[in-house]
Amino acid sequence: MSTAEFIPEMAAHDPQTGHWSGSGKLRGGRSGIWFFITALRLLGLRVTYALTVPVAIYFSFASPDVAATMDFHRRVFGPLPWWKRRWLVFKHFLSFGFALIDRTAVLAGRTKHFSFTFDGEMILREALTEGRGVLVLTAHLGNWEAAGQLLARLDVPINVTGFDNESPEVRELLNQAGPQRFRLLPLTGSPTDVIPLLAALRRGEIVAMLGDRPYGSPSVRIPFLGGLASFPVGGYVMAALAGAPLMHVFNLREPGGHYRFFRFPPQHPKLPVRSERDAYLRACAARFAGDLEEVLRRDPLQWYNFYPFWEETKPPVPPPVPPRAKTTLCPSR
Amino acid sequence: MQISTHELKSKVIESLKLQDITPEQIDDDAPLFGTGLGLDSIDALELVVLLEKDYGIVIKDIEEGRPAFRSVKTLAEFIAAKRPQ
Repeated sequence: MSTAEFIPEMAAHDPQTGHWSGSGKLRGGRSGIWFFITALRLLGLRVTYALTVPVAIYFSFASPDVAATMDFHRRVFGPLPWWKRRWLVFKHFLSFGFALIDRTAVLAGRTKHFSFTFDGEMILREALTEGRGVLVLTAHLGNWEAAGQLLARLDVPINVTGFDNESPEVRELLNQAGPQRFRLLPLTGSPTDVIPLLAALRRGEIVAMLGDRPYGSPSVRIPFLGGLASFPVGGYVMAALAGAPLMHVFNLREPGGHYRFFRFPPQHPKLPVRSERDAYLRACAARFAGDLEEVLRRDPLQWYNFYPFWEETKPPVPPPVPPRAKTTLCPSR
Repeated sequence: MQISTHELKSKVIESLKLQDITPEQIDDDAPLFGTGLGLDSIDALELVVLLEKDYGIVIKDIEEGRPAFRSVKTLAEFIAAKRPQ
């Protein structure tokens, strides 16, 4: 196995467009996933975890994402001596490796090694009784894929949005490994992405979106951990258009394969009049960033956005419409 | 089935909560996005939902929808052509 097969391109830099894109795709694709599934089957969970150590050491020196990761550590831990910075990068990458193994194990149906605590089940069920579905806004924190799979006991279809960059072969391997309990609704960065999401909400299902990476969706720049960062607002627009309740739900891995969920009260976003819309969406995103920070600070090394988060970058997918321009027709804006 | 551009403009103004603008002030051929009416990507989401809710038109492919979103006139023609009878 080449080590390069191990680490996913959670923040892949496209040399052609110069864009950082969150693809969530496993680098090395088929062979990487195959390795995980085979290692889990033959060697078990513990040995597979141990195999991650040399890989994490290698990447904590060789990865192009080290600088961005150190910037994040400085923001949450403050200034640190050089050895501590290296150590934290290693620990962060190791934690990510564990998350990937858990993800593969859970998606492959090996859920018996994992447990979870979700004290918001009643609240989520209650929100679902409104019959308009629930939009769950989560983050690249803990292990949202494993968490989503563990939530399957809610008996409500869960739709997860994301760029479907996983090749058909990888998807096939995952499907062979075990039944997938949630549906992936691909995002392409186009406004038409909302159609399947709306349909799912109308069927009363859960739609989960990642609120801490602005994919191609409309976004705002707001203060976060001492700097301005881009957060998507598409989720709030969607919930408002569908009349669906929206909940911030995060999860963190705890020792022993235990996942703990953190949830915040349901909101009912409503788009205000035009002139107040941007301020409103900014406030929504700021609330999300605040909730995220609260949970993230419990274990910062479980936040997996290994790219220059505070840099202003263009969305990975070109927006389908030109950016807003001043117009004489709408003087109020 | 034909749809008047005036009716469509009223709908757009209402659902996008555009302020201080009347249907008469919107030119049939003025671009909806960028220069012209100055709509943005959030409005694009809302327009897609408006077409689906009010006219039963589901745009699956943005390439199909792109020419339709050029102006009020092209949008009205698109609705007339696609609307389920």
